[in-house]
Amino acid sequence: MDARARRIADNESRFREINERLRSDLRALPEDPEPVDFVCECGRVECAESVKLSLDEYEAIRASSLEFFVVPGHQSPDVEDVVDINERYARVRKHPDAADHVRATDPRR
Amino acid sequence: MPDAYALLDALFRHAPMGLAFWDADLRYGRINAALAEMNGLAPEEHIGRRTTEVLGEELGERVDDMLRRVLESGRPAVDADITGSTAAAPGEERQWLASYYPVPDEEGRLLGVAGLVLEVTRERSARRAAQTATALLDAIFSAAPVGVAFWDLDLRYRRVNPALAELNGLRVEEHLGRMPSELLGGLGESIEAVLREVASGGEAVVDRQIDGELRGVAVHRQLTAFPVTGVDGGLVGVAGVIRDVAEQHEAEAERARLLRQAFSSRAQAEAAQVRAEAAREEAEAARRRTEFLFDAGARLAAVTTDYEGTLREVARVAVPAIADWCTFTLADAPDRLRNVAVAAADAELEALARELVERYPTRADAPTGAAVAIRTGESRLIEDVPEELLTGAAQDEEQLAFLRRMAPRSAITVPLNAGRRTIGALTLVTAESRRRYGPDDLRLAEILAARAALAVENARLYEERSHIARTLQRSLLPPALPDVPGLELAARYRAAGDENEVGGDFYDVFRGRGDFWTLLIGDVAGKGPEAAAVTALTRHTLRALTLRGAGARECLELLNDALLNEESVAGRFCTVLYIRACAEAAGGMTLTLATGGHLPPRVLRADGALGRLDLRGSIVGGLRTPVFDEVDAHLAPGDTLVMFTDGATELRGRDPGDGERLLDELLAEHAGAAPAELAEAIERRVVELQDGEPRDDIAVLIARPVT
Repeated sequence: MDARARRIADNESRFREINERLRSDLRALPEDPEPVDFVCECGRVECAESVKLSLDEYEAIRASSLEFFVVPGHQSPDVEDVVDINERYARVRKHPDAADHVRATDPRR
Repeated sequence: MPDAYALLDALFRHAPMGLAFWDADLRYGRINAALAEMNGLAPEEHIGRRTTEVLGEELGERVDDMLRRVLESGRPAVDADITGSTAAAPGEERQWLASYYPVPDEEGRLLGVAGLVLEVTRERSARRAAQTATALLDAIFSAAPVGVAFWDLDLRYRRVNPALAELNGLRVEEHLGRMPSELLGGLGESIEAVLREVASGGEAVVDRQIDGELRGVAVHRQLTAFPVTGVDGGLVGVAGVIRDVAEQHEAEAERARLLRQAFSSRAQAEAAQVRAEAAREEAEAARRRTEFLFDAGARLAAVTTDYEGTLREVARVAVPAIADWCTFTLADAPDRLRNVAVAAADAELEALARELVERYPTRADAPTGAAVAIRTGESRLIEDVPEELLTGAAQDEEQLAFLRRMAPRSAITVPLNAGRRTIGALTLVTAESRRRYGPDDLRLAEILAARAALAVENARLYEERSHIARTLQRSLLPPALPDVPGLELAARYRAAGDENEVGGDFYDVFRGRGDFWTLLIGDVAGKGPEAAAVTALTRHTLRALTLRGAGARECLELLNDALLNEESVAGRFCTVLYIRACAEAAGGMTLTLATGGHLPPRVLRADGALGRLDLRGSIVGGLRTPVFDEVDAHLAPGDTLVMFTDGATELRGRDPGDGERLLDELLAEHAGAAPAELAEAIERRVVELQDGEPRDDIAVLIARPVT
């Protein structure tokens, strides 16, 4: 994994931690079918966007340590594959060389 | 058939009611134990006494009145309610139900009155309590601001208050006998589920949230239900209190919505902080790189000849700014590499690094590191230094142990390319800091290496040019002043500015044809190779002309022609002071002088008087028809002739006149000094007056006749 791939993976892992804290806070509230504004987990320093996800969508992505979600267009094809995309978000899966790193930083592991 | 008396005795003894017989005087004739106990006295304490004596005045008189009316009327008094307190239990209000019957004899004459008395105090009290509870329940049902209902065991409404009826949008009577699900649909089913839970569990359910729809409208209610048991303890139904919590639900939903927004905003803020930190780190790294490049660039730009020292300085500032360990390796020849700079972030690491390069000099054929960069001319970034790299690089176990102790984490090797040649390599290594190099670091290293290579190459060129200049300069001055009989000579020469440029000043002393000697001093306009060419032409032309027997003025005239006609020096001119010196038999010296625009020499007489030998002469090489005066002068023994170029009088920041005055003052101060001492004093004073950096070349030639 080169430095760029590692930096992107680091950023995505940090934003995953932030989103996991948000998810944990939401558990204390009554369930709401409305989508939640999660933090875009892309590796761009200049990104300030959020991604609307239902809790079911969020949980589906979080089921894998290797998957993240980003605003469509914020994916980095050289370090991750897009496994699903719609107008709200792109679901990306890290390349194998970053797998150990993002797995080790997964708060659910 | 039992005897009547026996039957009466049995009744009096066992009947669960009070029985008594009063005689015609209304005194107790007989009383059973039950009534005596009601009255609080033993049966025998009643016999022969009147009711007022037994029950007290107030209650006794009322009973006595009733007995009297029965006795007088002959008619019974049935189920009379009597309320009061007995003398035996004053203040305790009790209720009795009494019936009094006249008792006649066989002839119809009244013998007395018989009474049956039941105490009903407890039953009456219970009835009143029940009436009160019912009234209270009615009040609660009708006035409660919340819905209240009672369901029987079939979960059918048995009682509903107006508030619940309104909540459900129905009349009270429309509820009765119906189940919640029949009236309220899904909402009712949710209510029934709670009621069943209470009925089956026997435990109250408190504040259970019931959400649903009623006639298409979302409703949010809170139900507290509890079991209702009968007097026998058996479950008779379920009661419940229902509140409409739509507003509360709305408020909670709004609170939850706001909290969700707040949580999301906080997450966005945290993310912004993370990204800001990353941006700040990137900016900081860029700033450090820029600062480092600026610093290193300034050092490299300032390098003249000591490029190895400069590379050591650059290596020093590279740690820890961009590396934990930095080396510069130069290729003196393709097969001969030399580590000229080693620096590390801490003393221990530096000691290790130095020991490593001393004990294991970089081999030109090494499979890794600087040698590869020098051989290939290509950079290499190793983000993570693998163990195999160390084992591959080590020549033996000891070197491997060295490398392992240094624990390199990440490394960059970049060639120092000068044009098409690779003259060395820069190596950057991180160790203790555990920093990992990336492409940005590689670019930085390549910029640094390019500047270092340029500095090294420039320094080498500068050194080469300086060598040429020094060699050329030496060729333009006499290697040493000749020994001239009867004349003590001294000279000083100091080139101004960079040492890689040949100066334009010159002097010379040589023997002429015959017994005279020629003293020359001159100044060619400009510096560098072209000036050197004029100097050489001037000096050697004058030598040749002198040896051919030309006089002082003739020499300058012919030199003027030569300079004007020589294309390679066209446009160049010079000043020259030409002096022919001939020793006199009595000591002293006869001088014949001609000047080509040069500064007049000074004569410092033996007695300390200072004079100047003024004569006229055009600049040499400047005019087609120049004028050169020729004059004679005499130097007595001990007199000192001082010749100099304008570098000795034209001082930075001062008028030329000031410079000549200062020179004259100095000469006056040094009257009697030896020529060498005087020459050195002149140079020192001129240098000091210009803060160590004379603006022009300085040439001084001094001659003194000696006996």
